[in-house]
Amino acid sequence: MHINKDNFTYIANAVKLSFTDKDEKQITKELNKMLEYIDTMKELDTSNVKPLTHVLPQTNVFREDEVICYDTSGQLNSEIDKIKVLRD
Amino acid sequence: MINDITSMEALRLARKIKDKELSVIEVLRTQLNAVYEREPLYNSYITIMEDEAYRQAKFVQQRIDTGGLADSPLAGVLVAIKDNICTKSVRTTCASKMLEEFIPSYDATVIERLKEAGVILIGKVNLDEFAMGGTTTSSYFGATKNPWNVKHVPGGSSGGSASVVAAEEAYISLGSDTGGSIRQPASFCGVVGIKPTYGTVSRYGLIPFAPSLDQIGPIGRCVSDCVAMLEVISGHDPKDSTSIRKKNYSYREALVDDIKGMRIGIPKLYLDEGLDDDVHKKFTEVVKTYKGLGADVEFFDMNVLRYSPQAYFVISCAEATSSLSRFDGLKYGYGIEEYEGIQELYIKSRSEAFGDEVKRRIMLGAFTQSPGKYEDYYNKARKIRRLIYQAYEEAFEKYDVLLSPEQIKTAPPLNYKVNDPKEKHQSEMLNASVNLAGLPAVCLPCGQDRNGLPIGIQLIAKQFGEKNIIRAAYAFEQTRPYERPSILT
Amino acid sequence: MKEYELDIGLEVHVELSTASKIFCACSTKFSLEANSSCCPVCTGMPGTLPVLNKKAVEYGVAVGLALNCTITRDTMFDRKNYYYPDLPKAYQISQLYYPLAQKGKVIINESGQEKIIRIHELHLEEDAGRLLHDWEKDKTYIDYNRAGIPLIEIVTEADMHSADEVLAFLDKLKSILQYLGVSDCKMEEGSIRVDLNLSVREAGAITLGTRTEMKNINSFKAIARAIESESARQIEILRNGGQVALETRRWDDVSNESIRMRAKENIEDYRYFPDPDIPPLIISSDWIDEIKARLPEFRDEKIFRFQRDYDISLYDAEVLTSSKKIADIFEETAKLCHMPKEVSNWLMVEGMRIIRANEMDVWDIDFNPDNLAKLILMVDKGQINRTIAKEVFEEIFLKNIDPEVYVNKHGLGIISDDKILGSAALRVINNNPKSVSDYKQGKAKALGYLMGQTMKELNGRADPSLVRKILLELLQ
Repeated sequence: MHINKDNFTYIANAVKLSFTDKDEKQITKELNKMLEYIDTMKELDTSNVKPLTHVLPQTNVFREDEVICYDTSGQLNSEIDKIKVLRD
Repeated sequence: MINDITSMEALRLARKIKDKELSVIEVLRTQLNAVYEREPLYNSYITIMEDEAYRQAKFVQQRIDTGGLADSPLAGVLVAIKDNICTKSVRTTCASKMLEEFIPSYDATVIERLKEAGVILIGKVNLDEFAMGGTTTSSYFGATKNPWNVKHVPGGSSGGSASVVAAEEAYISLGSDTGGSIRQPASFCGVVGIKPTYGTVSRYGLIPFAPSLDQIGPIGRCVSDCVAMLEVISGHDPKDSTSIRKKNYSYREALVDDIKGMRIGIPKLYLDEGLDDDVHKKFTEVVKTYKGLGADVEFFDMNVLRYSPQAYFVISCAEATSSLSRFDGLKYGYGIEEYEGIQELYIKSRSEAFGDEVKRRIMLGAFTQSPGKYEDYYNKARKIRRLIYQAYEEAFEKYDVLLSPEQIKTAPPLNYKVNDPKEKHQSEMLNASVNLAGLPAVCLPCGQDRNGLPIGIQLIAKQFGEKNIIRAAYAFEQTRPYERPSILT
Repeated sequence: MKEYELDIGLEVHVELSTASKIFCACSTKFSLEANSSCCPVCTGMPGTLPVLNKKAVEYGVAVGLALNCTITRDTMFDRKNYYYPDLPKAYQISQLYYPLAQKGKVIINESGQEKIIRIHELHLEEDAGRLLHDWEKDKTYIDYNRAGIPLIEIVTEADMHSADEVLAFLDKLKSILQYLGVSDCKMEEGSIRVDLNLSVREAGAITLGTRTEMKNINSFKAIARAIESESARQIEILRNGGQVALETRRWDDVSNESIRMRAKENIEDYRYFPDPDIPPLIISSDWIDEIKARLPEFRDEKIFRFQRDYDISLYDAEVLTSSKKIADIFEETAKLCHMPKEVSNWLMVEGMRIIRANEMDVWDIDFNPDNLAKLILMVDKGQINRTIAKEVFEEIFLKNIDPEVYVNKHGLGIISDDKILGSAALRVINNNPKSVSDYKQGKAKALGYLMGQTMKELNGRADPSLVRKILLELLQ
């Protein structure tokens, strides 16, 4: 079993999601099924293969160190009530 | 119900507008009438930008009248935009409760390019929530129906983009493709879709699903329309570090009805199992047609593609988990009002605002990068990605384009639940490997099944080989008439 | 009683003084108005994308070279995923797998001993926003001005064993960074932040103990206090047979103790992966050579060279190189007036006095060496006397005035006309009969008084020795 009660809780907390017991059971089942299928990746020999993230060969994409002002339009809601930020 | 104006091809419409045979406002009015009439049937639009469209239409007409937009072959054309592409001052929802009321203060770069070219935005169309899915049924705003049969899905995730074009509620639309999301719905709705080479179209303003796989592309009723649109939206964008700079974007040069000697390869594995009988039959006819047009068609092995769905799921979900992290209820989007402490704000807002499919993928994505799993899942998937990339490179040394059915079957019914994982994953197998290798692909219709549902084929080229697939698609397209959903005839 | 030794490593975050942020074009200038320097990119709006500031990379390479690191040729950015309200995208763009520079060293001189502090790695990343707490209303606000400012993180090995060594290292690091001009390194303003990693082990033991990470140390003095407090706390635990917990603690300078913030995160908890939005970087050897060629002469080399070329003492050289600005001013001025000893004297005596009196930072000094050179020549030629010169020097130092213009404007030139001097001296003698008779009676101090009065009459614009001569003549 890839996903059990322990790591489900760990993952859900890492991604800030909560589930009802019923949903947790359902999703665990579905994910484990999916992971069983994904595990078939092992069949392919990838020793000596480098991982690929960027499909294009371009490198060194930069911008010059110039300032451009953006008119902040008050789109953000930046107020938080009663944050207890220092606690876990 | 065919309306002469709404059923026109976009390029033809634009010419009539330039020649003063039609006015932009007239066309807009007619199109909007059709939209309001058809929307109760199809539910393709999330937001119809009526006022905004009239404003744009007046402005575009003015520009045309004063001789501007002479070099813009799509000036005056009405286009629908997939609702994961940011439009300034117009809500952009990603079909999610999370962004139901989100109004960006910026346009995506593609939108800027459209406006500059005198293209008019008519509305934002439906998709699977955050572009995750293949049916558009996960949309917070309800499912979109397939114009060919309203009891069936239009496909996804760009279901709304494909259905509006098929139902003639817009001339062209923009969709996005991460693992087939332009091609599959285009195929299910009997229209043409192009997924460009990665980096061709700017992703700035596209709310991402998987940044290393996503590309925006056009869906239209014919290859020429899509190519014209592709030219408008392609181009280097300094705001997108992954966008490339090409010397030549005149894809229209490939609209040539001649493919004599073109080398076409068909990966055998696509015809192995599970292919619907009607799809198989039609595909066999397609192969015959291509041979008849003078192409060299050959079947070959490309077995590494069998592992593309697994690699795709891991990579796309892992990237999606990170892409969606920023929706935290704090800054923009859905946020609960009452809470004790920041953790509750995060957890409750996200849990209430994301749909089930999105949550599933976020959990899967996090799992594949969690402690102890990174090497076996995320790295393994990226290694397979390289093998797939290399396999395509090898294939394109022998072939100019690769050909396959676009899907193993036609549009399923709305409530269809896939039980056999193999069946589910074969859809990804046909499409996702193209995104993994960053390649361009075109999908176009080749007929219908016994129930009248459209069947599509897919053409794939090497990176920046759009001209090859455009040529192959165009030549095939000339061999058949355009077919529209019976409901419109 | 068992003796314990300390092993201390540092994670130093340095804000780079580029004009714009690392991934967008917003200004990095400090502003009191919250959210006045932001854009959709640095506030993490949906669909926005990062574009890398070339200068930040150059600064990073320069620092790497200055710290004797190997620059990683193929480098890239990774996403560090975690939730905190000051992190707009819920991930920080940083570097883990291929940091910009690795395996460097810094040589410190502590109590006469030279010691090598090894640099484990150095990488670029973006800063987060700032949380502002309103305790009265029980609300917290976020200011994104700081979000996206380029940071260099420098991670050392646990090579330091005392607060003195830590401070010596930080002093050296600050000097290097300021000489490079990549950061103003002001700890009180947050442009340099230090996290301590501290563990203790029995004296002579080889294996390091369990370490704790200490955050929120806001001044150099607090570093020493934090080290003392934490090492004492850990030693106490071990002496009582307990185990030190692997945790992150928060230093409170007011109460002089630390509290546990959280268990130390496992690096895997952050799910670091290469950022697909940013193509990889290749730092070519040509580019490295180019940056190397532009590296300034650092303080150590300057101290050595100043002693040799200008024949000044080690102490003097140290003062004159306390900032690159002062060092450059010293050399430029010396080149112009060819009197290095004079320049040195002015900077070290009057210069340092003014700095102390005005609580200035040696890095904020900036005036045109031309002006100081002119002043020195004016004194040398006898155009103004030393007392006046001191006043003019202060004006140059603080306001960068041109001494010739200033002296003319305020009529401060030295008076050398004997007649004027004589009449002033005569006036003073006539007005101070008591002092005159005091002097005649042998009280030398009276002469000093008369001189002072005469100088006053002349508004200080005379050569004191001349005045003395004339007075003496008249008094005969």
